[in-house]
Amino acid sequence: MRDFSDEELERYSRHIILEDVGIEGQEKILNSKVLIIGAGGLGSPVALYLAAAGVGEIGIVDGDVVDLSNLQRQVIHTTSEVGTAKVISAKRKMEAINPNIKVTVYQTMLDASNILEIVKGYDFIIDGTDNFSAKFLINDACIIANKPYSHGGILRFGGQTMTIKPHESACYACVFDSPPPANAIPTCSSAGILGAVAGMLGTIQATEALKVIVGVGEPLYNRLLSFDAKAMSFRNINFKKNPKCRVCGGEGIKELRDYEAVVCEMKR
Amino acid sequence: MSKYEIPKLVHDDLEIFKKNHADFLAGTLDSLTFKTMRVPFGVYEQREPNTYMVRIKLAGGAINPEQLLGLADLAEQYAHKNIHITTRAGAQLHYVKIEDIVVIMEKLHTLGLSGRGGGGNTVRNISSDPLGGTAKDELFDVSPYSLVLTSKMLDQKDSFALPRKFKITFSGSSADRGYATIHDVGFIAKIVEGKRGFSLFVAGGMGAKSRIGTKIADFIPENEIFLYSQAIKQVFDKNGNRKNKHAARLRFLFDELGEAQFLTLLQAELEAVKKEGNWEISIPETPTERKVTLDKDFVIEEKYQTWWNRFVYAQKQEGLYGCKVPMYLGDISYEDARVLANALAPFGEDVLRFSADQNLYLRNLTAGEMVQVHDVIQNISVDSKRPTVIGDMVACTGAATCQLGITRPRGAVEAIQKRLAKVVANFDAIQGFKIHFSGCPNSCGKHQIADLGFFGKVQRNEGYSYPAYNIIAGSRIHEDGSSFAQKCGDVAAFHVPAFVEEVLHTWVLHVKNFNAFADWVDADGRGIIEEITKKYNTVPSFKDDKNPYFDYSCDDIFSLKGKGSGECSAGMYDLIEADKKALKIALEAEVKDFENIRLLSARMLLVTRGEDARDKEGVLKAFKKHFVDTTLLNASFGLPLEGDADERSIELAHEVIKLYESMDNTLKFAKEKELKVVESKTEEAVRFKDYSGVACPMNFVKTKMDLAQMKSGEVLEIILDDGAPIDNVPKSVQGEGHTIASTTKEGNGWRVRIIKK
Ligand SMILES: [Zn+2]
Repeated sequence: MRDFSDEELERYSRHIILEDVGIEGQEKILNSKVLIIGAGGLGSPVALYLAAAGVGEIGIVDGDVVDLSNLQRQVIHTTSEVGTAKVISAKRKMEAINPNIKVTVYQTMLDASNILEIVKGYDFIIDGTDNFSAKFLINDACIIANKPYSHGGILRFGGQTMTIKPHESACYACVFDSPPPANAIPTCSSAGILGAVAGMLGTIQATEALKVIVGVGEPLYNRLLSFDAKAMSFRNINFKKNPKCRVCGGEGIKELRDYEAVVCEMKR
Repeated sequence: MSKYEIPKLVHDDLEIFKKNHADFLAGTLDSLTFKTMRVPFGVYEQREPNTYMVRIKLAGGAINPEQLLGLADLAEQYAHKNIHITTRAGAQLHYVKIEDIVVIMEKLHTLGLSGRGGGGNTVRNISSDPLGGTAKDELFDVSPYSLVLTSKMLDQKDSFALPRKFKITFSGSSADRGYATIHDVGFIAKIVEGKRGFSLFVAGGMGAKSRIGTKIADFIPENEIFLYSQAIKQVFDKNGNRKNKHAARLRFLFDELGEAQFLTLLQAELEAVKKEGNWEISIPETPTERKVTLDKDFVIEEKYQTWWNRFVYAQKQEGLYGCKVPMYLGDISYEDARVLANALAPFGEDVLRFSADQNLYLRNLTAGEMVQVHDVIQNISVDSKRPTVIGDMVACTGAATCQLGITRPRGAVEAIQKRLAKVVANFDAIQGFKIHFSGCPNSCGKHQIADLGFFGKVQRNEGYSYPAYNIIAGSRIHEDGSSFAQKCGDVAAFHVPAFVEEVLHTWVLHVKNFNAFADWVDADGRGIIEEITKKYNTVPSFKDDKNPYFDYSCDDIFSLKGKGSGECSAGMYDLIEADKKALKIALEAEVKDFENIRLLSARMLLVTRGEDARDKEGVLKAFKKHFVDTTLLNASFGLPLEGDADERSIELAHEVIKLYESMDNTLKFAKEKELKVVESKTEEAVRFKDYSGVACPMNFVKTKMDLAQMKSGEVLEIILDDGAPIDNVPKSVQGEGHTIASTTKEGNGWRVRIIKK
C-alpha cells in the first residue's frame, strides 16, 4: 500500500469515495500504464480523462500535426497550436491537468515494424485511430502482445466500441474478419463527423480503460456497443469469440503485416 | 381390560433412564443430556429451579379407583398435594424433587401406568371420548381401542423420537367428543355392513397454524388402527421438519406435501408396516357391563334435582348413569382423590375417567349410587354447585408460569366467576356453554374450540401497555365439518367479566331459537358480539384509573418487560405490529410528525430486548442502549435521537423496519449473528486519527485511507466534527461494510470507533 500524499488524497477524493474504487482502486490507477493510439477526435477526451484520473504513465502516438479542421472535435488542441505536433500539444494539456503523471510521446505512424515494441510497455491500449488498416493492425498487435484494449470507431452521428481481452473475449477480427473492400467504405463526402460524438465515444473508451485497470464492473467484452446520436439510442450486440478467427482463434497469427490503407485523401 | 400394557421396551428404557438419573445426580451427566432423556419420560422442569413435574399416561383418560389411590399416595409422599388433570386426559404430579423421580416411575409401573411418551417429541397420551362406553349416540365403546393402541405404540422405538409431538384420539360418534377432527390422527367409530371400524382424520390441530383434520378414509377396519397410526407416524418420522419446531407438527408436513403426495407416502409406509408383520391388533374385548337390578321407582329428591339436571346423564345402558364432575383448574387434591376413589371402589373398575376438558367423569352408577356419592362430589367440586358455564371454563396458566404467555387467563376466569355469582340469570338455559381462555395465541387453553374464546394480547393506551383479549366465537366440532371459532373483536382484560356477562345474557335471550351457539353466531350473533366488544375494548387514561393496567392476580403493573429472552411471543408481535402499523401511517402522512415517527421507530423493537419503556426519554434511551450502542444499527443513528426530531427520523424508521424484517423467531437479527464474530475481536484501537477540522468528504477519504492500511477486524478510532461529518462519515463507512462500534461525544466532536471488515 503506497502512502498517498494529502494532495493526492484530495485530488483523487471523488474516486476514493467510490466504494468500488477506493484507495485500492486509485492505487491501481496510479500504477497503471496506458497507450493511446491517435491524438485525434477519440484520443483527445481519452488523454484528458486518463491524465485527470491519475493514470501513472500515458503513452500517446500520432505522427500528425494539428490542423485547423481538427479543432472542431479534437478538443485537446488549441487554435494557437495549429502546426504543432499533435502529441506535443496533447502532452502539454495532460501535464497541465495533472503534473504527477508521466507522458511519453511517439510522434510516428504505427506500422507492423514498430507497433509491438511500443505496445509491450503498456497495460492497456486505446485504439483512437480513424482507419481500418490501423484498427486491424492494432488488433493483431494486441492479440500477439496479449494486451487488453479498447476498439473505437465513429462516423457521422454514430459510433461503436468494444473492449477486448485477448484470447478470452472476441477480438475485432472475430467480429469483422478483415477490412472492407475499398469501394465499400464511405466516400470522402460522407466521412463527416459531429464533433461531440467523438467526445461521447472517447469518454466511453476512457471509462472502459479505467474499469479494466481497477477491475470493476463489466467491460464491453464479447459485445459491441453501438450508438446512434441522432436517435440517441444505444444498443449492445453480443458476440462470441470465434474459434476459427484468423487472428485469435486456433493457431492465430504469429506475425504482423500491414493492411492496405484505404483512407480518405482529405486532410484529417 | 382397563389398563394398557407396559411393554418390555419401556421397562428397558426405564433401566437406562435410572442409570442416567444416577449419573446426573452424581454430577457426571450434564443437565442437557439428561433433559433429552427425562422429557420423553414425561418429566419436565418447572419454572422454579430444581422442581419437576411428572406427566402420566392415562389412555383414554381411563383410571380405576386403585390407580387413583396410588396417584394420591404419590402426590402425598413426593409431590404437591394436587393431582392435575391434563388437557390430554392424563395426570400430572407437580413440585417433584429430582431425587424422587425414579421411585415415582417405578411405583407408576406397579400401578400399570407410565410416564413414557408424556412429553417431548413422542406419541402423546391417546385420548378418547370421555363418555366412551356410556353415550347413547355412540356406535360402540372406543375406550378399549385407545388402550390397545397405547400398548402397541409404547412398544415402538420410533414413538419416542419424532420430529414433534404426535397426538391420537378416538370418538365414539360423529359428535366427535374425542376431537378426532383436530388431532394429528383421529378415529371416529363407524359400523359398515355390521363390521366395526373407523373413519380416519389426519393433520388437524391447534396452535400455530391451526388446522381442521382432513378425512383420508371413510372406513378402516378396527384391526387396522395400529397399521394406519404406525404408517402415518412413519411418514411423519421420515419427512417431518426437525429443524424448525414451530413448523414441525404433522399438519405442516401435510400441507407442505399436499394430500396426494401424503397419501402416496402413506401407502408406501402401509406396505412397509405390513411387511414388518405383527400390525394387526387383537380386537379388544369390550368391558363386561355391570349387571344391576333396575329400580324403576327411584325418585331423585328435590335437593339433588338441580345438580342432577346439570351434571348427570343417563347412559345407553338402562338404569346406569354418568356424571360430570367439574374440577376447578383441573386439580384434585390427594385427600379428595382418596375420598373419591374409596367412594367409587365398591362399584367396580370402570367408574371413572379423566377428561381432556380437565374434569372428572363418573360412570356406570345406578341412580341410587349416584345420589350416594353426591356429597363426596359436592365436597371435591365447588363448581358442581354452579351452572355448567362456570365449571366448564378452561384457562391455561398464561404469563403466570409461561414464557410465551401474555396475559393471565386464570385470574380472568376467577373474576368472571365472582361477577356471575352475583348475577341473577338462567344460565341453566345455556347448559354446556364453553368459555375458553389462552394467555397467547398458542391454544393451550383451546380457545379455538370454545363457544366464546379468548386469547391474550397487548394493547397500548397513551404509551402504557395493558392486558387485553382477542375474542372469537362459535366453534363447531362434528365429523361432518368442524370449524374454529371466528374473530369478533377484542376487549380489555379489565372488562372481560362485564363482557362475558353481557354476551351470556344476550345468548340466553336467543337460545330458544337456535340449536347451537355457532348457529346463532353464523346468523346474527357475530355482529351482535362485535358490537358488544366495542363497548369493552378501551380503557381510561393511566392517570385517571390504573386498574386496567394490571392483569388479574398480579400485583405488578402489566408489562412484557423481561420477556425478551427466549422466543418472540405473540404478545411481542402484537406490540411490534401495532407500532409498525402506526409508523407506516405516520410515514405516509402528508405532513410528517417527526417526533412521533422517531418515537415509534425507537419503541417498535424494544420489546424484543425485554424493555417496556413508557415515556419518550425512556424509549429513546433504551433504544440507544439496545440498538445503537450494540451496533445493531449504525452508530450514526444515535444522533437523530438527540434533541428535537427532524427529517432524519424517516431514515431511522426505515432502518428499524428493515432490521425487524431480518429478525427470526428467536429474536435474533440477521446482523447480530455476524456481529458476534466481529465483537470478539475488538480490542485496543490500532490506529487513531483526529479529523476534527477536516471537512466532508475529505474526512471520509482519509478514513478510507486509514482503513485500507489496516487488517480485517482491527479497530480504528477517529475524531469527527459535529454536524455534517458525524452525520455522514459513519454512515458511509458502514455502507462499505465496516462496523461502527460506537460513537461517543467528545468535546465539540465525536469519537467514532470503527472495526474494519
Ligand atoms: Zn478474434
